[in-house]
Amino acid sequence: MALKKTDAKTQEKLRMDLLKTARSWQPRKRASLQTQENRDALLLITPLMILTVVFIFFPMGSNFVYSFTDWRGFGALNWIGFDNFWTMFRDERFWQSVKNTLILLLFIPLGVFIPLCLAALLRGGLKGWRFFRAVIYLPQVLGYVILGMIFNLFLRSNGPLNSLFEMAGLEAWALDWLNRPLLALLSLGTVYGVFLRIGFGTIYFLAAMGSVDEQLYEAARVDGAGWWTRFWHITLPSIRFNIEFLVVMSVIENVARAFSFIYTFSRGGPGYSTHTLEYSLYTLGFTNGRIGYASAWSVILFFICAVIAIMQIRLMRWNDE
Amino acid sequence: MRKTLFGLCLLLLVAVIIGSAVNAAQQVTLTVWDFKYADPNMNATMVKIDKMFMEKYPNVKINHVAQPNDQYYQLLRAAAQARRGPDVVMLHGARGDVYELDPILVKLDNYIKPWRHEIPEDSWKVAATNRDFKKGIKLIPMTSQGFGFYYNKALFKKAGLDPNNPPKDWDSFLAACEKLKAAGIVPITGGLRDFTTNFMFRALAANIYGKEVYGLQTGAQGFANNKAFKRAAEMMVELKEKGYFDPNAASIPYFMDAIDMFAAGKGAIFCGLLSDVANWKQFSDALGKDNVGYFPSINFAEAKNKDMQSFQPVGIGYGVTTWSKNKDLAVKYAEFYARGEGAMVFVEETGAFSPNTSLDTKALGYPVLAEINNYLKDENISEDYQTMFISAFEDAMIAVSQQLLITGEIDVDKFVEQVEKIAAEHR
Repeated sequence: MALKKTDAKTQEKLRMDLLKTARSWQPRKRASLQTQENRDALLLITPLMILTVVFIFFPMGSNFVYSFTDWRGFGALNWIGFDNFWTMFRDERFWQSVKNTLILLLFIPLGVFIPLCLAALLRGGLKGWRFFRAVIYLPQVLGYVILGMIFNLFLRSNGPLNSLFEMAGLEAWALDWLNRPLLALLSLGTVYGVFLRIGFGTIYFLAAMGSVDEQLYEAARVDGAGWWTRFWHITLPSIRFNIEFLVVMSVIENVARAFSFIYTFSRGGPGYSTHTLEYSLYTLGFTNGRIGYASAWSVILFFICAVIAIMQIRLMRWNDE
Repeated sequence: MRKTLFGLCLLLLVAVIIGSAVNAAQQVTLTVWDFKYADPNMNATMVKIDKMFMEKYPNVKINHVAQPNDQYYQLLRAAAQARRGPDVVMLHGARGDVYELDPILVKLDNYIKPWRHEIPEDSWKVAATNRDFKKGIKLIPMTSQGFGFYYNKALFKKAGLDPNNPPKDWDSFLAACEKLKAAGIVPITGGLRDFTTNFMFRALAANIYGKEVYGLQTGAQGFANNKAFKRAAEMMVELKEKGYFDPNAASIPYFMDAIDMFAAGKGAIFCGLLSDVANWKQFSDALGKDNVGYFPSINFAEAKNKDMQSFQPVGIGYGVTTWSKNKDLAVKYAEFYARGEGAMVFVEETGAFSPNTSLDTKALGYPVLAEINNYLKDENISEDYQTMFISAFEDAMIAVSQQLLITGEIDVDKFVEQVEKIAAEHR
């Protein structure tokens, strides 16, 4: 019995020792594995990090420095403190650009709502929906530069749109879309903020709607819910995150990615009526050669984009919770 | 015998290798940056002139790079910052922002000394940084530039107007436009969304400011309190309101659509250029040498001067960069476009308006060129008022003022007030 007891004790001790040993070397092995993984990851990520530093962080940092100088693209940097910022806040063009950018943002709800409706219609089993889906997405295939050119030609006073109005006997509708300041801005908002969002938005929402549980719709149908009720009470809440995401993306598209479209669509004119912050800073920096002053504008644009990015992150976290 | 033959072959081989190496060492490549080289009207001629230069200097290879017009100075600034790039650069004359490039351009005074007399001192002055000879001549002028009105004599005749009596004063200009319109002819062809009004203002400014135009640079002359300038704006609005501009002008870009339309006989009067494009040669070749007339400006009561020609003593020219390893040859290349056979080909084939007085342009046989030359007397020349400001003035003028003035978004008072403001920002 004593022997048995001893054996049991010994066995227990042995087991504990083994466990201790195992505990003592397993983490070391895991740590070594982790170190190797870290090394590999670091190796893989290094080229990207170098590119990011060289092409993103360095220019960003330089831009902040230039914004405090009167640099014109070459030569020495003359430090002028906050002069560029004071000039900018007194510059009518700055406020006009801010106003135009904000007006363009007002088109976003429409640019989200229309794709949403179209996606719902297509998902509802519209006859020939595959064809319509392709047609709706088609403009997205072309770049903004080409689209800007096309709409510039389309909306000219002697362009196809006005010709169509005249042929239909709607002469009063044949307006000078690109040469009147307010009309030009509204045309920009309608084309860039709404029309060009439709293709991607529709496909994106269509994909999102595809992931909604079909049983919910079946149950609603059994309860006698109509199309609108199903759309409002099932589809919309189910894809709320996707809607928010598209809104945020549209804001970014309007604030920081409209340059190439505006350049070919209206060249910022007439006057400064279609100048956005992004477009103005390009003309100031690269047409007028006032790199320092344009950098001050881009600092403001940077903070606007940063606020949008923070909002986006918050929204995503809020949705996760 | 075999050994001797082998030795001879070896010797020959060594000689060939050494010869090639020496030749390669002597071969020089000149890189030229240019914003005109891609222009279809210019390219073939410039290729030809480059070839002529390479034949004259067999050890030189020209690497002519067509840079985009829009980003040209931006690219040049980047090259200046890096202090490397082209040996020869094309530049506009008399632009404040071009003068800023002074530190990267070679002083050419000694190089041009033997032939300086061929080009008027006015042009050399503009080619010197800030028009100051003490700072040195940094540019060899290839062209002079200017603005004025070309008209189609056949269309004038068709409308019952005297083709040899251009409508040089405001009343006769309006009357001519009315007659042309009544005859179903577009009186003024142009691109109203951009350059037509801008160039018309420049042509009218010659009569408004005359020799006092330099006062705009110092602020001694202005816009808001200048009755003649305000009247010029009113005249422009009047032409628009009376329907004398092409009805589609608001949608037509000046370059090259409006130019091509006038060349195709689709309008009677056109505010064009003296050099480069939209010039005497292009229109004469298209409409017939005897079918094109010219007058430099419109005379009107409020303007102090008459028949003044808006003129840029230097339109474009070549400069040589300080980092070039072959400065002498680079200067020779710039010179080749400005004088002698190279310059003559340039003028003959592109319609460039050369400031070089030794070129026999009469021999080209263009009557309209002779008409232009008649206006180019010292007392008739008023330097282009927009060259008194940095180049961004032109964009601001078009953007802020003219588009809004012509579309009726702002009235004449607001327009002149805005021009004054722009001028203050761009001096």
